[in-house]
Amino acid sequence: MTQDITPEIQDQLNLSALILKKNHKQANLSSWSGFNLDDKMHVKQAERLLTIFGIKSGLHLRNSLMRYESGLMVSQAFEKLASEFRRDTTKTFEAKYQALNNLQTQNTYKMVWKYRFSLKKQKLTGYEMAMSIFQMRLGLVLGFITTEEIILRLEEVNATVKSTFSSWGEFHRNVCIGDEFILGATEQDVSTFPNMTTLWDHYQRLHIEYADWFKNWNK
Amino acid sequence: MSAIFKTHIIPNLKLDALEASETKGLQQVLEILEATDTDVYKNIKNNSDFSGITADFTTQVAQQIYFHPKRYANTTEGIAFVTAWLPLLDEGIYPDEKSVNKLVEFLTFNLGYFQSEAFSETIAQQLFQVLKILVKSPSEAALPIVQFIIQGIFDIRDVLSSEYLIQNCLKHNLFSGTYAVKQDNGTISTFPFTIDSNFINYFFEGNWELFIHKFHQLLPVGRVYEKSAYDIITPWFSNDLAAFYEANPNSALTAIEALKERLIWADAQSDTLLHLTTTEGNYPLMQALANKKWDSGDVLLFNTRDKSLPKQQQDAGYINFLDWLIADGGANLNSEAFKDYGIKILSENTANNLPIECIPFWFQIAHPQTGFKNHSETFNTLFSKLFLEDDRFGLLPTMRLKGKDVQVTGAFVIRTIAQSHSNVLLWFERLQNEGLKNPLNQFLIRAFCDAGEALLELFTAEEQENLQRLLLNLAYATRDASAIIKAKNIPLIAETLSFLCVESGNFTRVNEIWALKDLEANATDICNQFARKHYINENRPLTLNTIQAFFNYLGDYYYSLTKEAVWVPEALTTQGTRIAQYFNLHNEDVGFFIHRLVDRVLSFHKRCKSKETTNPIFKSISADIEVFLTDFLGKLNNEKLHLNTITKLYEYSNSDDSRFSSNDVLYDQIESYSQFVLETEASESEDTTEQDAEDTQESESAEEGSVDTVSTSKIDINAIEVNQHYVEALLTNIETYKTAGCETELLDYFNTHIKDLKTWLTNDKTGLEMRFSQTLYMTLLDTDLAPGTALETYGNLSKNVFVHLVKGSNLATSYAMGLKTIAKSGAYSDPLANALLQVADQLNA
Repeated sequence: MTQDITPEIQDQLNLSALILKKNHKQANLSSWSGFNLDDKMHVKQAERLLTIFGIKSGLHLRNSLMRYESGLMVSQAFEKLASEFRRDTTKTFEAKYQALNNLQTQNTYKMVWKYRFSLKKQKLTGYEMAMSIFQMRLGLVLGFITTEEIILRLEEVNATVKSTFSSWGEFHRNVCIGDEFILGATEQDVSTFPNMTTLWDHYQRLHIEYADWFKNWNK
Repeated sequence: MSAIFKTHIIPNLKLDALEASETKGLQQVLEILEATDTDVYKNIKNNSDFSGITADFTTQVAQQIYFHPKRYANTTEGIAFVTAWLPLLDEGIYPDEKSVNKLVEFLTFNLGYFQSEAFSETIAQQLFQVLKILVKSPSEAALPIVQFIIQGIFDIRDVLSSEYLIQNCLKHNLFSGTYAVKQDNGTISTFPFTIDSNFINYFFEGNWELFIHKFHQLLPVGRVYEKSAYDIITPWFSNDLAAFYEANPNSALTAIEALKERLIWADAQSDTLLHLTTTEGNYPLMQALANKKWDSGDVLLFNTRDKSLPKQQQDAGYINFLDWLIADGGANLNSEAFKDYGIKILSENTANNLPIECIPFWFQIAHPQTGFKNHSETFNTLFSKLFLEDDRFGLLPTMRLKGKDVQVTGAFVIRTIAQSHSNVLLWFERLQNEGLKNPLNQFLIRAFCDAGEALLELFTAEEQENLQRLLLNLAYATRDASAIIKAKNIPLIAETLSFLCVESGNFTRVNEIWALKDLEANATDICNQFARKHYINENRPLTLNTIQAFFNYLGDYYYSLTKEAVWVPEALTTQGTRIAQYFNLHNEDVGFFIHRLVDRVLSFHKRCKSKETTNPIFKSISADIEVFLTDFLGKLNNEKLHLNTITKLYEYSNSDDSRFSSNDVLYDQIESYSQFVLETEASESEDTTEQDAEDTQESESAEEGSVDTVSTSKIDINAIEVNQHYVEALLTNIETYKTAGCETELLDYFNTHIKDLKTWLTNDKTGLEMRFSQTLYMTLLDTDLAPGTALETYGNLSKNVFVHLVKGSNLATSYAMGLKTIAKSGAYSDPLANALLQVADQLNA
């Protein structure tokens, strides 16, 4: 049974808007899943994304959600590095950084170094929560989860996010940092994939197109 | 009266040479012929007195009537003459041998004429009527006629005449009864029409080979779709013929060739001959077919077999058929013999008639690597019908093996396949790419499922692991397979995996198998049972991981409104005590872990309570959680709880959210912690740092210990008896002997009353037994109590008590194993190590 989307639920779903738009440009943000279930291409896209996340069934989905919600997925790795860097001096960090010969890891190091103090409390919770809502919406496309369950889970996720962050801006910033932490720096690179838009692009577009949604931080 | 008799025969009768009795016979003949107005008759009538004389139809009389070679000079007249015999023959007056031989000459000469149009149907009717009577007659006339006809039939040099005779034999049913033979002594014997030594003697010069040769030559001859010599001879088949074939396998082989020719040229089946049996019940021709290498003709012939033939007779045929199919690199698969006939051998059949060899054959011929590409589809269809779509048997059918019906087992299938492949799994993998829609995979899954626990013996641990992976891939690749295939196979895969995945602790794998339920509703029960077995298994020791899993899945259970992780309520309602005991025995500090556990449980309890009114499901979840908390906290040693956990419990219990107040037991349990809370509050007011809080907790447990423990110094040795008080005193002493000193006498008392102690502990419900053995176990490992030390006596006593308590319990082997490992680890001195080994031996004894 599909429940109606109340303004309250819409507000909770919007926590995943940025991630959803990035993964699926045609997403309809005011629907439960964001995907058009009657459009085979949409369903195919959802299937592909689920495969990338290694989600083959409802059980896989729930385990994945569990890992995001408990911080095992991203925050733990971030915090491990950040706490190490918090004890480092610029010099010792520099030495560590230079010792790396992998560009991607260097970028990660640079990023964690930058946020090692500012994200001490929040870690990358915002990104993790957004991802977990995004995966719930994906799971809905293949029937791994019901809207009733989503409502129950959204409630928890929403409580966590709203108590961790104080504004949409702060939250979305965390989402973007998290995305960069996981996927690496996402500056536009025309050489590999023309027209690819970065999460920052989507962030700007979202705040223009749906300005009303992201004004009030409803606790 | 016929004209011939009137003009030629009767006037020429010579009465002179006849005896009176013969004359009387002749008179009767004339009466029958209605020749009473002839001169001869009147003559006899007037001149003879036959009183007291019996009529006698001697050879002489017969020759007077029947032997008139001149009449045969003209064909028409000859025929008229012979047909004129009818009234006489009807009365039993038969010709003699000489006359009959003349008749045979006439018939032989005119065979061609009989087949011409000039020979009318009516006359033919009469002529064959005469022959029929002669054949049946119990007289010397019979044999020459039968010989003539049989030789005519078997003489295919003149195929037209042979055919003519055959058709008329059938039409007039000439050979229905017996034939008569005049013996040397003049008597007449009759024999039935059957192929035996008499038959061969009279018709084939006593030469079996001659008969067989002619018979085989005759078999394929005849018009298509019409009756032939075979139909005449069929009733004559006998055990003797079968015995001849049995004794002469070469003849049997030529018979098979003849039957094949008959099948191909005349399109006629010959089951009766093919299924000929000897008196012993052997089938010489089927045997010959079984022993030869097949060509297409044999396939055709086998296809005509009677389906009711005993299975033993068909077994070899099926195997020859399979050999024929794969011979010459599968060339026969393209033949008409296979497409039009051979295929029926499999399609119009059931698995229980077929030999077990079909299974490896199918795998060979339809496997993407070894099979014949263009034909695998055909065989997959054939064998799916036999093995997969037939619901008369469970997973696997019974089939034929070495002349017996044998139930096919999964283990057998796997072993057979494994024999022909050096790397079975690689072979499976190749097949797996075809997906579940390939019937071979479906059959394999049945075999695996049927093999069940035997899989663990059939495959090495590494292969089992690979197999699990293969099966999972197969299952997860079925998203697009048809619903029926999924419904049938996913549950079987799940069941197989539940046999394979028995090792504990690999929860990633467990979850993957458990998740199969999302692919197919039919598999839900199996999968849930499987998950339950792994997560809640009383036979396996608990680990922190398992406990954590319980409470992780509490989330799924709650969020999905009890639809997922369905074993969670069972875990909640039955595992509380067990988890508490696990923590009690856990030496390391598990307070933090317990805190998180309690925190998670309480948070879900709170959510359930707040939503209770919207859905009754939440009420049941919170009720289960309360059962868990009651069991868990009821058994858990107080000192295992961190202070902040207790505070949290206490505060939650007393808050409005929890409504624990309606649950007396739980509420009281938590209330009993109030002492701690008060202490904490007191100490917090003195000093608020965390460090101090921990100190407080320590002093707290110490204080609590002194409340609970029985002060051993007060023990009066004479007053000791086996009861709660002293048992606990003993336990305390064993736990604290290092600081409190050894109460050797107390231990000694229980050592002598070991039986009473054991009984008491068995009846004890508070889990003291477990604690006892664990504590005693620790003393074994204590170097201070080792042999040769001051406390050796105490050590020996506790060793003795340990052995008695643990021996025979289900923990005995684990302890023994543990002791052995420790003894061999080299960490201990030789005397102690030896002592430990000794204990292990005692436990195992």
